[in-house]
Amino acid sequence: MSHEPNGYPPGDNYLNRTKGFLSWITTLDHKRIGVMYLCSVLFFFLVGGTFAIMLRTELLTPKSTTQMPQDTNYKGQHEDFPQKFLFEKDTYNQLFTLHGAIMVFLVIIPSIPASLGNIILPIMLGAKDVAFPRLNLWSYYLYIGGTICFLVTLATTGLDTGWTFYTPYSSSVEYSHTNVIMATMGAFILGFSSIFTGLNFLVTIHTMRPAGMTWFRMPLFLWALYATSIIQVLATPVLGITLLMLIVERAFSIGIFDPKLGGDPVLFQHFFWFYSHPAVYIMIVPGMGVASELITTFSRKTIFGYRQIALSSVGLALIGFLVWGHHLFTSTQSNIANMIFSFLTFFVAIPSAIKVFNWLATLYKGSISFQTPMLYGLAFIILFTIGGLTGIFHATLSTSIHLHDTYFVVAHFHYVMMGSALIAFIGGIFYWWPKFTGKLYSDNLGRIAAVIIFIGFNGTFFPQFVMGAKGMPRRYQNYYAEYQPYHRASTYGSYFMATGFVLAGFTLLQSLVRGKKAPPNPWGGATLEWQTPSPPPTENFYHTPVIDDQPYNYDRQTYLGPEKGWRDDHYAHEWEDMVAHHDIAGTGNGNGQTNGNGH
Amino acid sequence: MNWAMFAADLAPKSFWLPVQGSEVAAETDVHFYFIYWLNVFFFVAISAVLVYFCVKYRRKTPDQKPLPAPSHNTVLELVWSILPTLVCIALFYVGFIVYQDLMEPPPETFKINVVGQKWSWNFKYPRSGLDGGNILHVPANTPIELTMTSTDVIHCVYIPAMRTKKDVVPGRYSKMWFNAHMPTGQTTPLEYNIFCAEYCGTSHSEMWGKLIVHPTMDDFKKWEAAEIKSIDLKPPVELGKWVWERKGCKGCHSIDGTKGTGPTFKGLWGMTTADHLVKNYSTGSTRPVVVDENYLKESINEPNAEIRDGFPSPSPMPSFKGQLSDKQINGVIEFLKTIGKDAPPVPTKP
Repeated sequence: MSHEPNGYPPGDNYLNRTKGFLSWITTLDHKRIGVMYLCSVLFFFLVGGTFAIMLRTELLTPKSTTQMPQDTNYKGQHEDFPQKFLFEKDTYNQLFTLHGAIMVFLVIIPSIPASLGNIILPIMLGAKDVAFPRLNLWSYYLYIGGTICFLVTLATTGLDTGWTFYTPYSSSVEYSHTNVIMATMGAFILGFSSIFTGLNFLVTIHTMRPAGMTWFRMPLFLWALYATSIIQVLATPVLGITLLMLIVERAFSIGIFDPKLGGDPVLFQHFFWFYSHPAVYIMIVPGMGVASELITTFSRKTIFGYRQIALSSVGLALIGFLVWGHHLFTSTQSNIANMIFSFLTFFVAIPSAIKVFNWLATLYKGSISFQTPMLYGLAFIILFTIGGLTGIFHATLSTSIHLHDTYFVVAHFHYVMMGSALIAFIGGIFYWWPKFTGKLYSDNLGRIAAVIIFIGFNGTFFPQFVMGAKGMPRRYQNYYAEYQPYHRASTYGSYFMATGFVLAGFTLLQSLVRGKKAPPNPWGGATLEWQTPSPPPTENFYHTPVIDDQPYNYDRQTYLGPEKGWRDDHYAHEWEDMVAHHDIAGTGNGNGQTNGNGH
Repeated sequence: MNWAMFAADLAPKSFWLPVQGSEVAAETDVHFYFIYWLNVFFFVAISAVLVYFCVKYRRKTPDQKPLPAPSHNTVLELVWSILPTLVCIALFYVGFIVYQDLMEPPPETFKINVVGQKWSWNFKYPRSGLDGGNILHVPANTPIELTMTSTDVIHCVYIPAMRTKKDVVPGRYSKMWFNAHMPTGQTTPLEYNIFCAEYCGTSHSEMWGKLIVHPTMDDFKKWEAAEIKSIDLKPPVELGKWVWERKGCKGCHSIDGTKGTGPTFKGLWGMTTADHLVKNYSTGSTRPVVVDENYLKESINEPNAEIRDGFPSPSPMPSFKGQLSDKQINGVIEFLKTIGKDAPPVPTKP
């Protein structure tokens, strides 16, 4: 026994070791930093989501304005419509810009890696912390710095460039009168936060794996985070320098992108998407990692095609660097370039398809349980399948030209970014919630919320495929009446989905107040984070774990009932100490006095 | 002339896609539907397998063990890696072939110049010199080539019926072509929407244009000649109103008193130093100005020189220097006089 739990007082964990605001903001504990990330990310999810609901509300009805051409096929269509917009035109443009910028930079990119990854990655590795705990806290401070820049942007003149900051609109004070410099500064700082987290994870995974955990014995969530970290470290600097160039042009009129100053506006798009396309994989690959964990745990079965899934994450990370040009199919990029980028883009489909098939094969002959996290896991497979398949329309040049910059694209990337990445994030929260809070939530409420979110999501975004294919351009405040039925359906769907999120939030908050104490392993997970108490002690484990098998061995587990959860024979020492020091028998008041009867 | 009166009642042929305005549109639609059914097939197959497994292998007792099953299968894994690869390469190939049709115009084309600026289109006919404003008239069954540029930010000409779009970029010329198809028996002009598909600021969603397709080149030429004549012969007030409608003024300046992105034209003419404050963008100083011919001409050519107090500074309005002739500017001024401060009420609801 290498590491006795002697130093720990009974019932000690990372949440109660020290107390007070100061103990949190100066903490070096990866779990606390992860929890702080989680709270911040969820707060901004609420802000970005509110903007989305405001946008959808505006789009309920088209407006009759002087700009509406009068001689149209749809004669007289607008006479019954209101003449007033709900929001001023500039306000609307700011709403969709900030919705996008907040959701991308403040929510999805940090969501799984920085919050769940921070909490879980070291525990999955059986380590005490990440490789550089101080750098980790600094990443969080930088994230907060970035969010402050965005809040200042919001409080001053806002931002109306679209989250993509296309030049010359964004780089000239003549065109955008909003606080572009503050927002790009924010994105710049957030980029560094992201780079440092990626670097930290890379070093941690390389150097801190426990004895016996070879690369191909690593849980797939770690493979996903590893692939993500590579992209973060390699791609984000390009965004940084691009945004700096934008700031320099805007502030000092140095011509880089604005043709009036001798620059090239399309150059910006190349630079921007050289980061932002790989960033799509920063968002989705961790989600795939979470989905892999959920599907294997709740099928109680080893993941099918482990190596293929692991390597396809890395494959996606690499191919992701070669396809940025498909965002520029209509940008006056040459036909040859378009052809090459179309060809390369198709190769994204292969690792994606492989993953989906492997998840399905994992379900085959499994013992499938439909607890809340698994519903998100299954929703992920369905929504990612739709998001992925509709990507084929965009990779194929002939159809892509028509669908480019329409609601079809909007629907496609929401299926991938929200339906997949964010759903996996929410599923991951529900999966690891008992672990890092030590509380069980109401599984029934959680499941109802998951179903509402799934239905609401499809109700919101599926109609957008239809109107997009019919030619409805994106970023439009006003539109022709022929598109109204789809906009209406989409808006009602978004309201329904919002109630699902409110209910999911309520389920989690309620568990903090009234939830039962969580056993170490409530779901029967096989990875290391389930072999330590919930919530884990400050240094994660009583004994440094030793690995002797692939990560998803469910054969050694015994179910001891809802209060005690699952026990893994391989980690018998850990279990005995948990019984001795934590109330896992579910008999007492939770301060660790139970002499457990967990065998 | 109100073209909608002659426009055929065009119904889209399919649930998913808009009206097909050209042969190329029909070709891309074949692709769309091929990919669509491929998607449906895979989606249904994947969902069916998922649901079947979920029902068949659901956990009935809390500690139910899974059935014995292999954890990997090289043949199966190879099959589902290679099969999608082949499908994708095939799709790439056909997509690229039709894309060439979409992008490469035939050698002989009918050329039209396009200028995009916030927030209107201007279609110009280099052969006749006609300046058509935001409605694009073309002959059917003729390859039309648009040579496009922007005076400010990036715009994008999008004609859903032609299944094509191309960015309109400042500082360079981009090209796009289409060949509008005329169904047999159709003898009246067809009308399609033109959108701006690249976000360009305040009124991006209302940067609308129209495409009118004339059945034959002769019809088109007749229209063109009549249009040139009618613009030439228009009295100044009507010319001014035409400019207001077709050259993008309408997007921001109402003529019924409604507040827009810019000041309304109703009651503008004749404002005096008592009620008209303007601001100079460069110096930031504010001073009263009488609205007269000189002020209007200056504002059209240099929008930033004297911006009405209370409106955005710098002004989002593009300069119309060189875009409008002296005759047209004169027309605008005469038109504004008719809806000026002391003018008799005009029926203004457009």
